[in-house]
Amino acid sequence: MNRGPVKRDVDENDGLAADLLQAVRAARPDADIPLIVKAYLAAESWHRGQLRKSGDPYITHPVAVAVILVGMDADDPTLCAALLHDVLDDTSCTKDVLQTEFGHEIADLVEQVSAMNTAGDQLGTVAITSPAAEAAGDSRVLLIKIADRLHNMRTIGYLPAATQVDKSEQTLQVQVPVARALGADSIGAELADLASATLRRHQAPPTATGRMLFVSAVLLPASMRSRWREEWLAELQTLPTRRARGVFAGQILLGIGRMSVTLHSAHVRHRRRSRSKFRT
Amino acid sequence: MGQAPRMTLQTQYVLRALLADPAGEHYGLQICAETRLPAGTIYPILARLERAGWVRSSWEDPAAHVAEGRPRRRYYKLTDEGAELARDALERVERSRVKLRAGALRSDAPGVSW
Repeated sequence: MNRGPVKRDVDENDGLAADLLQAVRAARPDADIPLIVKAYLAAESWHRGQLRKSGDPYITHPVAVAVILVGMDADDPTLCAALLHDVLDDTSCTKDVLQTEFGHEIADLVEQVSAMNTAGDQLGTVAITSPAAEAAGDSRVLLIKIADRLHNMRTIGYLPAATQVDKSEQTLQVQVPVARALGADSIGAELADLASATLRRHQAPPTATGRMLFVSAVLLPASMRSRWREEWLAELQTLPTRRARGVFAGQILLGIGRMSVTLHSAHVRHRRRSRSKFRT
Repeated sequence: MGQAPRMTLQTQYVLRALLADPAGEHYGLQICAETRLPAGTIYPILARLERAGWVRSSWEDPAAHVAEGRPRRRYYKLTDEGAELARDALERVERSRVKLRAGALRSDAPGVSW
């Protein structure tokens, strides 16, 4: 794969780039737009043909990370490094190429972000608290990693359940405290929120009534289980007394048969419809 | 729009509760309280209404529930078309009920002679 940046301008129909540039212009009128466009075109070219687990073109991820960073008042090198943050790991692009095209500062940022990936899965606790990381002193690398994690958590539903649980636990232990330490409180809150919601979806809750609800959802179609589990557990948690929680869980349990039939029949009908479409 | 849901008495209660505030967002426990129906009854109804396209559901905005320190809620809302269809369906049920009552009062109505 040998695709360097060829184009020099953003395609007018490129909505993704347009959204990014609009966000940059609104937040920082003094931003170096040509440089950011160049980083976007390079990243888009290197990642071309790659897909996210969601099926979206891979470039949507670095762009989303850059947009998150725009909201955190990141400077131009940080935004460019965010756009390029996966090219060293996931494409044949080398640091030399980055250095030639974008200079030392951006190439170093990208390299440090990549180094964290290889040193224990993303931003291991050791990596941040180590003297080396502190000496490097570039909190911009951490900012990129936090924004990277935020977008990955927003789209975590496309990963296997076990990975979702691992990533969520790690997010609560590592990325949330780091985000807060960097003063990015709203990012920290959203990360904590996404991670705990994901854990609630996948892990049986500790109370007996919660477990009862969790287990009864097994009767629902697999694709819908997590939604109803989360919805019911959230309602359960707002009930003030143990008795009220018990009544609620008991009622759900009594109705779960009908619920199961309702949801499964919708499923089957949908499948039949799509099958008959193939026949004609 | 999917197939219209059957107008059981419970479905009518749920639709009335939603129509009481057609633009508002409703959540499960709230609908339970308003209809006095048990949770196990209203969720299958909501699932059916959603499938029919009368109701849309979505997760609560993080800002609201984080501030209140509770997990996010699933909110239900009538779609524009759903609100209209629900009003029509309730009206039809009401009309047939009135007709039924009127029929029962007539002495020559079939079925009441014995």
